[in-house]
Amino acid sequence: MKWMIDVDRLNKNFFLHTQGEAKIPVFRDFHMKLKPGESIALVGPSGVGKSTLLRLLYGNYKTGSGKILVHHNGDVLNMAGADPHMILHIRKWTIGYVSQFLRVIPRVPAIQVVMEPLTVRGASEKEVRPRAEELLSRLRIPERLWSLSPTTFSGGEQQRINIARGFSATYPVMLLDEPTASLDPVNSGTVVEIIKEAIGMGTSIIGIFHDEDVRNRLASRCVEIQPVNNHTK
Amino acid sequence: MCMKNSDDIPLLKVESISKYYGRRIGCLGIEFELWPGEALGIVGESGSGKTTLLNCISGQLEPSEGAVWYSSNGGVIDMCNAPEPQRRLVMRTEMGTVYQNPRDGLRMHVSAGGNIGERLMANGLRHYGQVRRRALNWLEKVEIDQERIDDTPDTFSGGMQQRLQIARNLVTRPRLIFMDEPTSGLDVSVQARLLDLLRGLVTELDLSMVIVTHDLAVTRLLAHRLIVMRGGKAVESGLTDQVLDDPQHPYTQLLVSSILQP
Repeated sequence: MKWMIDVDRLNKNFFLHTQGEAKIPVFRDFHMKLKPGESIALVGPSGVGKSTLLRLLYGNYKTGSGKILVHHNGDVLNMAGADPHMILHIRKWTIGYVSQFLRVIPRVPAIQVVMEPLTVRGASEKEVRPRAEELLSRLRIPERLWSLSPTTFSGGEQQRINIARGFSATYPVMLLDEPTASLDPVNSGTVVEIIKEAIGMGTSIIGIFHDEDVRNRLASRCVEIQPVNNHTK
Repeated sequence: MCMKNSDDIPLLKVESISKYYGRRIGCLGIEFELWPGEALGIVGESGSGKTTLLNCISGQLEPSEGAVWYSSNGGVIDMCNAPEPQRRLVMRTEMGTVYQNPRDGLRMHVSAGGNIGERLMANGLRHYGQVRRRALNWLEKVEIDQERIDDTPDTFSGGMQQRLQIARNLVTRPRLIFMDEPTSGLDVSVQARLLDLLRGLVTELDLSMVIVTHDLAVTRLLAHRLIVMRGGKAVESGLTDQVLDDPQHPYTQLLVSSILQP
């Protein structure tokens, strides 16, 4: 396998139909490859489309044209245009994603939020609980909070629950959107360790790391996203 | 734990369903597939054809055109043309419907226990003690005080009635459940509770679900996939988070941008 993800001639525009039919081009003929074991940091000014790229790779945003090829379950599939059922399958097994914010589900305890990526793969809670507890402890979430819904947690606590959730299962590819933003240096250090462990276990990474030190410790190379000129046809 | 093959067959295959009311269009050319364990949300404003579509695919309304294929435990059947007894059997044992108005789905003058037990008995369970035990167990699952087992639903609050309707449907462990605006008549605090309950049950029982709602937040919480309807047609469909985070059609953009965020 020469690559895990191959982005080929990707184009993406946002059309805002409710706001005067504004057109916002984000990618034009963009390409990149993620090789096995690689850890790519996306760099570029704010608003250039780094998070958008991660969301396109995860199937959260719809690709305009071009291909996003992914090795999944022995096949090569195109995330752009794959049917939703297939995208869900790819997300379950092949591509993990840690967003900037935890989407909180009311009433679901933190520990279950963390275990979910494993339980949806069919594992029992009993089997996966030790892994979830290990991550929560390492990320310094006090045990008394584990059985509570993260709805009322602080921003930093929610972000750590998000990290624990993202890394409870292992994926061939992980997309990380500023995993250490809003964390203190100690917790940030732990997150870097957890990411390094995943890389050590064979996960390839595409991430956005604003903290230069974090980026230097994690990235094997950088890919710069160039702004698309709004005035070209 | 292993990666299951994803090309097992869909539970429900809806092929180009249309329903006309005279010259008026109810819904037009709707197609989708629903896979085991998947929840599909159908959203749109009132009059967009959501309920017509739901009724066509749940066997309650005969579509004017199109086909609905359901892979039952006993093989794939054509829901629009199967013999009535076979269709009834499948609907009673493998499907369930939760109505917007609990009065449409419950027997208001039969006890809560009786409401839950009815489908069990219709499916052959005869032992009264067992029926009652299952009913008690389900009251607990849907967070209704077990002491209310002998009370009739007309003495229940709206939220309790809706939870009882869910228990009545799920007690026989159906594979597919249809819901028409299950939360719309409820107070917001009760809504959240019902949604969380549903979410847990769907995962626990590995249910497939088609849920009609005008509330996008409900779909974000419950549905894997969405169909956005307008004027009887599907204007957009896709993964729930994709449709809500990157809506393509002007109407979907309008819907998403109109959500009030507290």
